[in-house]
Amino acid sequence: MAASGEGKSATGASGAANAGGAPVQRWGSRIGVILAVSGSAVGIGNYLRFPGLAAQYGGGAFMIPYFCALLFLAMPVGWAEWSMARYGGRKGFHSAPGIMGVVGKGRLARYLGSLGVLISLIAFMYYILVEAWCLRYAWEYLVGSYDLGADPSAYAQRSMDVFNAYVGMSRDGALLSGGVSATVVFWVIVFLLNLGLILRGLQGGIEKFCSYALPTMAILSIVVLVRVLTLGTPDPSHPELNVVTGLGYMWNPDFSKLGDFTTWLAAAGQIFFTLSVGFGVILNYASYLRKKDDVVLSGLTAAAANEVSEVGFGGLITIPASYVFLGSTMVIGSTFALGFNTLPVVFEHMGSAGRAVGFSWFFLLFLAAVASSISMLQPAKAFFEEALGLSHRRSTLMTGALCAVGSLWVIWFSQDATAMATMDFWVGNFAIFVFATVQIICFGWVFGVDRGLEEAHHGALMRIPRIFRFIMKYVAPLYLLIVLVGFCWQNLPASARSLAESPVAVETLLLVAGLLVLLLVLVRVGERRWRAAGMDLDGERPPEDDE
Amino acid sequence: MTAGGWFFMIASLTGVWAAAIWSFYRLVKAPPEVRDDREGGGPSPPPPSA
Repeated sequence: MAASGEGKSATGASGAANAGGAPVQRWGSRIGVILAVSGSAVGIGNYLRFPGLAAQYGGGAFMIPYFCALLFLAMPVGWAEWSMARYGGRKGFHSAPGIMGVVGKGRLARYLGSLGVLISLIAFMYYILVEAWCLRYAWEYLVGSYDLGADPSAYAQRSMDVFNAYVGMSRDGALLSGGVSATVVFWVIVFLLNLGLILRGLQGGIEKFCSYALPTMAILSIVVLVRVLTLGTPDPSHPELNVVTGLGYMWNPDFSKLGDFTTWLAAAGQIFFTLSVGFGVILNYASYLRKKDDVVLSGLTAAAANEVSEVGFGGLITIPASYVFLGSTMVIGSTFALGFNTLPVVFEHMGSAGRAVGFSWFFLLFLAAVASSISMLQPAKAFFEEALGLSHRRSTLMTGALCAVGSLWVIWFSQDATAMATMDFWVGNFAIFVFATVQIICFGWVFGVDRGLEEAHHGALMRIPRIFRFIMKYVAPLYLLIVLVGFCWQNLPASARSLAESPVAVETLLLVAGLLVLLLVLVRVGERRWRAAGMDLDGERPPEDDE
Repeated sequence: MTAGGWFFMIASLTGVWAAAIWSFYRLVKAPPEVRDDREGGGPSPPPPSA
């Protein structure tokens, strides 16, 4: 693959300037951007959320709505994002507002593009805390300090107590008052690690980290998978609890669930979040590609790599391992319950091997989380750079300062994880659906699906099948609108009740709204800068490299 | 595990692995990247055979 050329800095900056006047950064290689996008997509949800949902919503039958959503929703939106991003990048824009303004031809799309910055920024604020939990668990398994006691019947309760203490679930401020919790120390470590990687730039930070982290994650996944698949029947007095029945618990189809709209909604939501579409991350990452760089095969490859991790590893490890030791009494409940309450009990039952498997597992989750979280910082950093004309370093520090404030908010309001849940619902779920809908409508109807596909095929190493013209213009927007309406119908009443009952939830939502207002103001500031610089911010002219 | 369970598991695993292997293979077989003719980065280096 390509190496850095002369005149490039360690961050991978080339000679050209972006909308903020700073040198444009570039990916070091074709595989580099694919690894970075895959790293962004492969996260904790691949190993915990997907298997939990599949077991809950029909086992093997869940794969039908899951792959439908992949084909008709995620791939079209994903390819649209890759194409729009590269087009915007060719015009000097690397942030969602700039790119959406160019593709959506005007101010409305540009202001809606601020969602592409808000989502990743807010998601980072709480995701970084989950990352700190993973590192803390990995560390405790490594040094042998994680202990659930000697009584197997008390493992589950003890595991829950430990987790609740680690996250400060009992009361607000539990992690910061009466001495600083170790969780906060791990939070500081992972926060600085993320910031350091972003400061090192695209090539020196994100690309390099992902080039080491993803192969390491693959090796750790294989190690854990081999251990799980060779568990056999650990307790001879319970011959029904074995690996094959565990796989059956995960994969046996229950077709009756397909008649339930919730199953289709859950599948669409999962495929969406797992591929990082609608986050604003692909919009930023792919904007550093050039006209001759492929986006079609790259988008497919990144999605396929994510699916191997999710279906190939996540689908074979978590639920079968839990079933072998705990049977159908295991707690699937939520991503966190499965990952941080149930699995430690499973590792405890594994005896002496449990410590090594536990460390491998949580370190794997930690690496997956870092590869995702650095991708959440990058869109905001790029936006501050081009809207305010800040240097790479200053925009990184500004992003870090905002994230630190928001993340400390989540750490302080830790009771029942209310602040985290509020951010996750309104931004990590609702706003993603909204932004994805905006994007596919801009691509298919404003920019034009034919022009969009022509743009996608510049330098493409494969062609998007012709049928996707119809899917991108009609099916995907309609599918998304149905999912968005269904999601609101299913979740908004409960969320509204939660807002009415919890002042912290209201205050957290106000914090999110305040940040959105700040971003909108900065879009306005950026608009003036870009216009003064003579940039084509409404996409009225072809890119300069078009001739 | 039922026959349906085996079917969905094997079909899903085959599908995702096949897609990943096929797409990575296409990437590896693709023409090498040319990186230095962009952004006014100077003349292209001679091809490897020159």
